[in-house]
Amino acid sequence: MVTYIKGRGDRNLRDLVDLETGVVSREVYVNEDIYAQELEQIYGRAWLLVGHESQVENPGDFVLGRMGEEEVILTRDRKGQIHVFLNTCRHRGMKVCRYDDGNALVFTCPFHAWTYDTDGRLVGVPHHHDAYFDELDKSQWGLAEVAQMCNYYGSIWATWDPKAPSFEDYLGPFKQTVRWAFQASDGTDAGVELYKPAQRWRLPSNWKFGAFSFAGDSAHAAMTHLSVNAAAIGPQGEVEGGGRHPLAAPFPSKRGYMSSRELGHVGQLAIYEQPGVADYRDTWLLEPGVDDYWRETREIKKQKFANEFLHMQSDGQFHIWPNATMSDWRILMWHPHGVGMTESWRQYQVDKNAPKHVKDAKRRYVMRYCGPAGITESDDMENWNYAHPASLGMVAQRYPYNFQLGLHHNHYDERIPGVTIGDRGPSEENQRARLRRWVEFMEAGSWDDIFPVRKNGKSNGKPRGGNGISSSW
Amino acid sequence: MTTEGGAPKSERKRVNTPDGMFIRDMPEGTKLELKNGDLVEVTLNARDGGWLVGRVVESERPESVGTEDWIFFAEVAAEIEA
Ligand code: FES
Ligand SMILES: [Fe+2]
Repeated sequence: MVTYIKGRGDRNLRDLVDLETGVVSREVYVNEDIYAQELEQIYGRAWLLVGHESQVENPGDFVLGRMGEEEVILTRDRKGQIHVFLNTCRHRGMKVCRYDDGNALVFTCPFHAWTYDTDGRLVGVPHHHDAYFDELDKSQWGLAEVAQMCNYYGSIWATWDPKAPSFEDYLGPFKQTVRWAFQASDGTDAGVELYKPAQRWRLPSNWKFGAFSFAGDSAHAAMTHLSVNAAAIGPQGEVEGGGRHPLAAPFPSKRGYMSSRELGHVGQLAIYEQPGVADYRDTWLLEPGVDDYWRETREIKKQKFANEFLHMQSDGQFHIWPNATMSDWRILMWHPHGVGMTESWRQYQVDKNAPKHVKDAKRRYVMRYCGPAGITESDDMENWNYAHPASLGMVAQRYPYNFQLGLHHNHYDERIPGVTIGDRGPSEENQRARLRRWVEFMEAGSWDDIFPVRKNGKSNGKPRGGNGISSSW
Repeated sequence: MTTEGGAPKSERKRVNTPDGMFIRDMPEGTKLELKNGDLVEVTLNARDGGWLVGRVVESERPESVGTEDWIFFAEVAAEIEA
């Protein structure tokens, strides 16, 4: 079991992450050895979001994705089966597929031309007969495929670890939340597609700045987003002061920071005081005809879920361990790209069956809001891009980060078993839940050490600390 | 020589015999002579310039006639007139 990191003297990871006091060493974000261990023990084990089935609709379609630092090919073979392969040739390592997306019969390596079928089999090797003398066993040299893959309501997830639990078990109390994020606005499962292509760019900061901050750092919004709030980028324009989010009708609920301490998934979500779905409120006031579509689909959804409590539905933002942030309109991926670099990907869901003017209007809005040119996320990046270098110095590293907001002011609600709730104002509880799972992954020798998490048979799903780390709320 | 129709090897009309055959845009149905002497018919083209699938029409190895396999462009000796 690797519990220590190298560097300036061996230290235990728990000395660096003190969840009892909410104090976390900056080394967790900037140390090269810790980073190398993260790639191995977090990205080599966890279920990771790779893409969406709408990106590979037809046999032969492919799109590149990432798992940790490494590039993968998401493709649909000629029989219609979806696969995820490492994008590297088994001969001498060349990147086999150099297009971001497309349709192919085979993937031919540009180096020495080994060629792979879309099901990963090595089907062609030049000189196989006359110079390998038919002695090369092609069946042993296919593309490296992930150990497990799951098509979850259209979203494609994969892990390199054959011992990882099933994807549903991995999601625990967040499995409905993820399902809802891929429902059409009328409540039809797997009812969305993604705008193409993904937005991708690099930010000079550690991946956890994005992945953990987005997990529940609402305390930043007032100051950081002061200017974008004034700019009225929401679909309603300047109505009601011109916020950046669409207008929504009220519905009796209590919103909070909700986390699975045991699994590391978190969200800014709600518990509902009554079953059903809120009325639609017109908000696309600058885009004629768009509200008509959403109003109609909302009516269908309201009927469908009239008697259901949609606790933790994906209208809020949530985060699947370790690096996928999502809601019912966007997906944010925080790919590690060196200890001080993140490759950030954005994709946006839209109803498959929405008319073109609705898809276009939504695309314009999300691009105003998100991504490298979206003016909300530009605000966030400005912070992370400076916080990272300002944390690198020898002296800077003597001073830990503070994660004490809302510490020990959480509670539990039996309507959502397994979930810790912080709802008394802004809280960093979600970020602490991520750090808790981070320590567990970094200490674990294998999945046996970290799943199932409730080894001691906790009753009624009430969350505990997890693996001996403080359980106080 | 086992054949599946088609002219014997000596009578094949070679219309195109470059050093490296440009196969990228070759339509399915094209007949090719390989460097090992086999006559094949293109059944699928990856259209990447490297690989296509051919069905063996004539060969010194009777068991291979009728089989399909991937063919690398450098194995192609000539294009045969239809
Ligand atoms: S590296 Fe791909 S064929 Fe040699
Ligand atoms: Fe923000």
